[in-house]
Amino acid sequence: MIAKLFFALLAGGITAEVLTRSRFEKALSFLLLCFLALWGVWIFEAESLGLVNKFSFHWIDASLMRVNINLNTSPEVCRLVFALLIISALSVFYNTFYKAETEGLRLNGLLTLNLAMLVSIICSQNFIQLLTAVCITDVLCLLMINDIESKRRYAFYNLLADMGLFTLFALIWKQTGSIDLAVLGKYHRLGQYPELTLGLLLLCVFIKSGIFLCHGGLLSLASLTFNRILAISYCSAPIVGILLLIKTYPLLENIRYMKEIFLGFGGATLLWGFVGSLVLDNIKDKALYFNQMIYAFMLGALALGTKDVDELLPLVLALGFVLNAVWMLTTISASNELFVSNMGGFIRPLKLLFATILVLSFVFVQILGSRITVPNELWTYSFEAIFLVALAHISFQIFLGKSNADERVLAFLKNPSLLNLLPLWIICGIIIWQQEKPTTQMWIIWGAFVAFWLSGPLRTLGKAYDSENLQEADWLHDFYQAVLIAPIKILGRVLWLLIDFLIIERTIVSSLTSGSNLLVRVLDRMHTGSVFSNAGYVFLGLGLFAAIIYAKVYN
Amino acid sequence: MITSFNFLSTIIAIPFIGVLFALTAKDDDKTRGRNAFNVSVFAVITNLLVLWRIAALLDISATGLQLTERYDWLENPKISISLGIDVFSLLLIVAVHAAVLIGMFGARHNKEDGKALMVFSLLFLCMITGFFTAADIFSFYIFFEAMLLPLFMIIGMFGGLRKQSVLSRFFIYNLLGAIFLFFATVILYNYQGVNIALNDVSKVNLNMKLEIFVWGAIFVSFLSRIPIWPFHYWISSISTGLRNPLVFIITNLVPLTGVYGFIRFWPKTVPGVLSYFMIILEIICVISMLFIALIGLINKDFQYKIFSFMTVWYIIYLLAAFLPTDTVLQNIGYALFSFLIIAGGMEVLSNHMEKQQESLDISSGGILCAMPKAARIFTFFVLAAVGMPLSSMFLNNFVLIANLLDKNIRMGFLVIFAIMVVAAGLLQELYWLKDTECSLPDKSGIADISYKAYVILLIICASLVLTFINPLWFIV
Repeated sequence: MIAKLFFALLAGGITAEVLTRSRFEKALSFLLLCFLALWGVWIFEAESLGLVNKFSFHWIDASLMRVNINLNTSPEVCRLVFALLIISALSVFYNTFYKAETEGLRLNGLLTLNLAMLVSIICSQNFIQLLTAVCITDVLCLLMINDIESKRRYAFYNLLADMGLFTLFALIWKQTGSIDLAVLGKYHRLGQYPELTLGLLLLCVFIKSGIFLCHGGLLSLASLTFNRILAISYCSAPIVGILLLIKTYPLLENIRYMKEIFLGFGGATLLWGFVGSLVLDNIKDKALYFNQMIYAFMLGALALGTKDVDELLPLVLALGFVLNAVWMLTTISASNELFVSNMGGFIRPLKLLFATILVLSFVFVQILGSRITVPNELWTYSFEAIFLVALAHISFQIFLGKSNADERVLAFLKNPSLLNLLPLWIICGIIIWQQEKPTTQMWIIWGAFVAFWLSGPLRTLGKAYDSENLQEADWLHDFYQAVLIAPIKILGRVLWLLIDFLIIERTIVSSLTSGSNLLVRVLDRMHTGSVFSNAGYVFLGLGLFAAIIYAKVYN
Repeated sequence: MITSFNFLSTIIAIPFIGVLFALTAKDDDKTRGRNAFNVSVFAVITNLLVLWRIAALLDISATGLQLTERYDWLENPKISISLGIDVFSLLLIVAVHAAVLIGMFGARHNKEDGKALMVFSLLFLCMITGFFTAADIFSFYIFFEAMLLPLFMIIGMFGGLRKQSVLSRFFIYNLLGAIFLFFATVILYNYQGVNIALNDVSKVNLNMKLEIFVWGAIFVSFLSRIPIWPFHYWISSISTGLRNPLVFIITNLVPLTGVYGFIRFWPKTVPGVLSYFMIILEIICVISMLFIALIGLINKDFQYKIFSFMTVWYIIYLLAAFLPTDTVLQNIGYALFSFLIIAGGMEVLSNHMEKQQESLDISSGGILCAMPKAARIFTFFVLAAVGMPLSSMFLNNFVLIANLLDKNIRMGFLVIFAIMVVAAGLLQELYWLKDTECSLPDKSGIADISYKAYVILLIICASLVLTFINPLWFIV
């Protein structure tokens, strides 16, 4: 089943890419959407039936390395693939109907290919399949980004991540002699470079999922259109980071301080995301900081061994997607207004969106509440509190706060079409239906959230929007520029000046040239062309000859 | 494999016959070297077809050289020319042919001395093919030096503004290399009294002094071809001044001969007396690699970036060649195959952009925005060059780097750092060329690559993807 899906996705994606410039772009995009929806149904069925089958084929069959491509079907795989399929289908849906998107079919084709690679990552059982799929998702994601600065940052960050992963797998392969992911669990018992491998893996995962200190690539996506932010944040690089972590988790299990590292970085990311979502004015930036919080939470949840983490991930991803879609629909309804400081008082014209956020927050509380256990209690409550405070604050500013919107925005402000809202409601409905009955504690938390939202105690933070320095600050980028990039460039320049120019060009080559010129001039002076000079050379030669003979005979 | 047909002499002869035809081709204001170009392309493609046949005849699982040929040359001293081929040399010959073919297409609009360029390129191809098929030390030495003649002429005629100073350096460095290899060859011949097969060079039992001298001489002669400090300067200075893709490609094939020399001569286990020098050589290699990668990063000339990319990888292949594993050598061969094609493709496209830039007097920033076809292909080549899974470089390099890390983890990390720096340099250039914020005064005047060139480059990209799909086919 999964194998058929994989090949169907490849075929669908390639077909979409080939037909990009077709006259029926929208119709083809819609067909692609139907195709994904149909596969969604089949995969859901396969999961419900508990279908298990094995599929693998030899990719490379050499003595040096035998690489199989595994595409096995199991309920666990189907569950994760189903969630990603649904999120990708939703993304395709918004790409198709989002007016600002000019290359919908191309983007949808890339998303479909990307989904095929995600399936490959989920099913991989060896380094090579995993590494190849990760690198291909990077290339596909790079093609999805259509802003040059974001592309540049994404490329540099992910180059670092991919080289880290490449090195990690190369190292482990040579030391264990196997490319099976199963060897990761035994790796540390062999006593080889545990810190190094941990560092390389975390570097890769952190960059891809936008964890604190490595988030430059992910947060630079704010200059893309909203639909692309959605597509990349929930179908591409960040999710690859989390999947990679799940696949390579055995490597980390034996490291004593792994939990502390994860919680430390996860906590720092949560705080960073929280502050960013509160103080930045642009709603796209806010959306990205929310996404960062979600991925930080998943990092901590994985480290704490939260139960049913493979169930939690799809749910959290789906909710994150819905939240991003709500922000997107808000900006569309507000005539593409991006700055929260220019919004406020939208509750009356945007009742449906308001209601969607209320429902979404409830679903969020319900999902997290049902998975709280003793080990992850503090972590989950902290995340829940931080996330809900940020959500309440921003929702207050948009829906209940004092209106700063201009007349044009207010005049055209209306609820988004039902077509756009319906998928979000369906997702929320399905999740509510599938979850356990809400407990009193969940109702209390949600009530507190609603009270917080209605009262808007953080309203004074709105002043942060006026600070131009704060809005344009990019401290981490500046820090890396100053600490890493600039020294490397200066070193390159100094080396060129010192070695190439000063030592080789000006000293060695110049001296050789001057020396040869001098020799030529001296010989030229000596060789005047007169009879005496010619005779002198002849006698000099004879003298040398005689000296050699003398030396040979008497020595 | 026994065959009655002399395939190896044929692949050496075809470019030479091409030279003769190109020389007699009509070249006036009307034809502008087109005839010579057609003849040259025909010769290269014909040779590629013969190489295809050779590939079919080769036994992949067999060790040693196959399809051997031998021609007696001199009676006293008894010297014969021996030729032979294996998968490794076959891959290199095909890659060199493909790179030169790409270069020929890139240089087809060269208005000045187009005929001479094609003639010398074919001559170079003839010599380098002989070099890769040489099976004994004398044949090896002869072809090693003979390829310098067309190279000297090419640099002399098309070497850019600084060609005179570059030529003198080229001459000094290569003369040095030639003298050392000559001495090593003569000593080995005298010691054994017969011409020695290349594979047996490492088996010759020399006394300690001679061993140091012979291997030292071989070291120096091959190093003079590879841009390792302090020998790097002539290639780096010529690479920045060149404005002809074919000349750039040919010049940057010279280090390949040095790397190949090491691979063919070098014993699997380093002679005891030389192990100390080996460490020094490795240190110099790594330092040179970092040095050139860093300069490539700050240098704004894209030619230099390509040069630094090629040099870093040549040095990696050299370091990998010192590893005592046969499969690593096979990997080098296949990785080099894609590597040369990628470098050739990048060079041809960068040259096209540079021509547009010069003719319209504009900055290169954002130029690819006006060339969608070139942008697509260029992006592909750059992504393949930085190691994305688009060519055999991806998995073959994985094998090489894994072996380097296994040998010495510190060295491995420095190698990876150099790869990242050089990749960052290429990506930096790509996004500068695609920068939409750069203003292009006359966008409509910028000519994209022709449809024909686009199709050819697409085919090349597709063949690179095929090498990714089946990257280790020849390793049984």
